[in-house]
Amino acid sequence: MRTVGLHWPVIIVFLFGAIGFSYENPENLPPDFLDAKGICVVHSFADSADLISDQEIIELQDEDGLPIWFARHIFKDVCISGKCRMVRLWLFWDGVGNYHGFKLLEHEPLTKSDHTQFEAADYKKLDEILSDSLSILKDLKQEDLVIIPDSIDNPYELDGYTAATQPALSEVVVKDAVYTCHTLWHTVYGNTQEKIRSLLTARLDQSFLEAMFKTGDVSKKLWVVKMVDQHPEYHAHFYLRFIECMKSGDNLLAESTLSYFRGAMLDDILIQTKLVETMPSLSLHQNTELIWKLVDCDLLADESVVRLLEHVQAEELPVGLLNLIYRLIKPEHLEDPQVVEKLADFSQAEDVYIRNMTKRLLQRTKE
Amino acid sequence: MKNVVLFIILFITVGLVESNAQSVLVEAESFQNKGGWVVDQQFMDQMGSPYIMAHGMGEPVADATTTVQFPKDGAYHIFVRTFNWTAPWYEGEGPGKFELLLEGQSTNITLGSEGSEWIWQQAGKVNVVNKTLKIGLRDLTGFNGRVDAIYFSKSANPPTNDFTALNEFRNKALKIKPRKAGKFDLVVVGGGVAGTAAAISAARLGVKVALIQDRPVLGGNNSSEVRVHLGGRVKVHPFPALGDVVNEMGPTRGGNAQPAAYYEDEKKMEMVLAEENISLFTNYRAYEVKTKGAKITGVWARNIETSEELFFSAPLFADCTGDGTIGFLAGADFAMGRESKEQYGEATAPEKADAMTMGASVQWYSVESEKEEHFPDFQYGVEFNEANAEQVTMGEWTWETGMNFNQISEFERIRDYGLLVVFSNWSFLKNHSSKKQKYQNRKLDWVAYIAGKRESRRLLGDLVLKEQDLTNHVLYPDASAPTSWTIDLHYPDPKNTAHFPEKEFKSIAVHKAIHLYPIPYRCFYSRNVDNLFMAGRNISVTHVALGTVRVMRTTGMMGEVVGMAASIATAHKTNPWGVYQNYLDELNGLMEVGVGKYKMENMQKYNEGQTLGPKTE
Ligand SMILES: Cc1cc2nc3c(=O)[nH]c(=O)nc-3n(C[C@H](O)[C@H](O)[C@H](O)COP(=O)(O)OP(=O)(O)OC[C@H]3O[C@@H](n4cnc5c(N)ncnc54)[C@H](O)[C@@H]3O)c2cc1C
Repeated sequence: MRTVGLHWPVIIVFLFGAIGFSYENPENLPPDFLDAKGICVVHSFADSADLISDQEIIELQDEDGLPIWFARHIFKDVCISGKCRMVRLWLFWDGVGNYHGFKLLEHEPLTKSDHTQFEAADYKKLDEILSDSLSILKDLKQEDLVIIPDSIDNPYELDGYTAATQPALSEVVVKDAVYTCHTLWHTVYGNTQEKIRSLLTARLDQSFLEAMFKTGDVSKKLWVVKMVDQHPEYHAHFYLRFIECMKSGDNLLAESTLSYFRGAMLDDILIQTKLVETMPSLSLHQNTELIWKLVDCDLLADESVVRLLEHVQAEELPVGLLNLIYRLIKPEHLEDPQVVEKLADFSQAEDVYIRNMTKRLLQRTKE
Repeated sequence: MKNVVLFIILFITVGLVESNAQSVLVEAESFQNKGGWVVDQQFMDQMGSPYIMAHGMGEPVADATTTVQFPKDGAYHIFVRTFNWTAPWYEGEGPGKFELLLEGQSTNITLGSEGSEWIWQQAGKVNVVNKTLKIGLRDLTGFNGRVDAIYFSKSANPPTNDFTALNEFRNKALKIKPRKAGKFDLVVVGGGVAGTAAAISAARLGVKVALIQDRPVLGGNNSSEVRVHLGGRVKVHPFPALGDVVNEMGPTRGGNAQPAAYYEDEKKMEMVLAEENISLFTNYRAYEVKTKGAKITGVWARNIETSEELFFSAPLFADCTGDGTIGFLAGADFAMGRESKEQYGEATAPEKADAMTMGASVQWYSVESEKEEHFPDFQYGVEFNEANAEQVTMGEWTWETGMNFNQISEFERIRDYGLLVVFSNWSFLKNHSSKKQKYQNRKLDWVAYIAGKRESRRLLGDLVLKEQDLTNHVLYPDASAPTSWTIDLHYPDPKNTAHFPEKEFKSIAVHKAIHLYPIPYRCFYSRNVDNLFMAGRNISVTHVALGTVRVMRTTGMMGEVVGMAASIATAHKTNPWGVYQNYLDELNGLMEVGVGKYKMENMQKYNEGQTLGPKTE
């Protein structure tokens, strides 16, 4: 944040909760975001698609200026065929723009098509729906949401009051609140999210990425992986750390960092070597994926071939991967004495499978 | 592993050619150089022989050539056994055109485009000098022209087409004399996942096994020839050691209709070759059995390239052919088609029994190329247009043909229809579609010619597994390999039916979840052929129950159990029923320990199937 101008964020330092927002927080909802401490930055946001909601996005930053969350005060008409009902609430996105939660205004609970109020379980369900970026609601238009009985002349009613929710949907939406779910889902994953992402990319440079990565927060790390993937100029600075992350107990992070390494990148000997060295700390599934990736690369360094064979010898990689490892071995590798020595060992192995396969490999590569 | 087969193949370099003073018969599959032609043995039992086929996906394949020795010089009439494979759908000339080459020169007679069934087509005359003739086959289209044999005769009459008479003629002409393959404890016929696992399991327990497989590779539907990925769960309750062999030999990556490398053919092959107790006979198709009373005493198999014949004798046999061919030949009771509701009281069965089965798939895919790729216009009786064309770049399991045809006797037609629709649809997309721009640089990279089968004969055992056993979790004392896939039954896709009534080529699957269910061992041996085991999709189940058991991790575990039972039967000199009757504890003991050789975490974690259903009882 360099300047504060007309369209630039207004920076207010405060304890969010302390300025007197007083919202009801139904049970089972995520923690009270508004209690979080930090620096509040207001970004103006001219949202042409949604003129009713506040035309600003609030960002809470930590003391280092890193985003903790983004929020927007939403006023939405949930309507179909002219009959509308206003929904007011705060929506929150985390520091990298993923859905984070919602917060209701005091005395303004969400209601269903029959005007009854949402119950705690309904809020929980709504939170789950909004957390699912791939929800079935994604590709549905409002008119796809209900089945309208032929007998009804003007069947449209809020949230399928007169019409039945599509059977495929009824399991995945809050009962009698299909339009609310649909509207809010599309709000969460619509313009505001896009704007938040552009606010973040505007800050993109090595030190920002570095700072985000250092927070240790998994979603921030995932975001950094994504950004570096899109901006190869930062690759050299980060790739070793990504290799470390492959060992993470967080599956998503481990998977994302594994998928980061692909294609021409794997022709880099340093990367190959590092990846192969890391294998004993990775899961079988990751190692299998990794070997398949290496199979597609141009030529594996001799040293990596030796390491892979050592991993098999040490039972750090299962025998079931040996045939794939042998696909990596090209005639050029047989010029390396260490590779030759290792393969000689394998061709004398007690196990017939290993022995035979090695002999055939040697025969093939000599031809 | 005894290298009998490899030895034979290496040293038979001259094609098997019959000659007598009057005539010479050349089996096309024995050509020394097959160029781009492929050997197809799938319909041998129906049309009498393997044949070679120009499977070029629209691009003519390289010439096949061979040198023929003649007993005498002089003039010979030439006949080529072939036919027009599109005849069932199109009346005119077919696309499978090719020519015969004599000393490198074309005879200029177009072959392969006429005849609605296998016929001897006149291919001109030749004057042989120096008693040798170099002949060749030149593909003209890349569209599956096929040749069974070439006959040179002093007489103007071609040989017969009658199946039995032709076989006799062939045997006599080629002077086929079966040799003994050796003596074994167990002969496993069919090297799909079930048969391969059965052979490995038995061999590891000390049984001398012959494994006969009619293709050059192992794995059946899971090989690079068919490209179906393994499905179902292994190493689960109540026998977590079952599935060790499947885990050791199974590919590490999932996906149907993917590049050949995915299917890790070499791993299955090496796993088998590593077993000293297995004699592997690839490229041999078992076609006849010898029986004595209710027992099989031997099996004859013919090499699909050289026509060499071998005779295998053993006290025990395992039918893992998928089609239950060995059982059928030995007179085993079998079922085919759908049982009626009344027959077994199954909720999913139709009111009336019928002949419907699940279909077979010719899977395919295309790749994006750097330049524009041409594909010939291909229209042979099934019209594709904007409304009915499949706007896709690959086709996997949903491309399924022949549900209302006989998956054995009409299988060539079923496979051919699979090819026909792939080519016709692709031709439409490439040449006529309003979206043809999108396909401009795309090229067919792989279209299977070995069709993947799902269902045909089911050999009947002492127990026929039915739907209620699975859904009510009825446990039997001989509970063994667990099945975990849903009851997954296929039907013609109604959308496809609307466009192609009675000529469907796309399917839908209807699933019913089940809990892990251990299949009774009694489903794994014939009820009326004393020494016949079975593993794979041809076990003793109803059509509905086949819906779950047919997936290959499950058929592989069946194989493991059959291998274990065979070791017990061998040790106690008893038969499969004897194992059930007297040695079930021993079998349980083996199933608990398993026959895994390597300490290996479960690598079979892809395509495990949907969430398990409830355990009702
Ligand atoms: C398109 C498709 C998709 C499918 N999807 C899945 C899936 O996702 N996962 C899954 O696990 N299963 C799937 N299946 C089902 C599964 O592939 C079959 O049920 C399979 O046949 C079961 O394995 P098998 O060993 O019994 O038979 P097969 O794989 O058919 O093996 C039998 C082998 O025996 C050989 N043989 C036959 N007759 C003879 C003879 N007379 N002499 C010598 N050899 C002979 C054959 O060439 C073949 O190699 C699918 C099937 C298809 C076609």
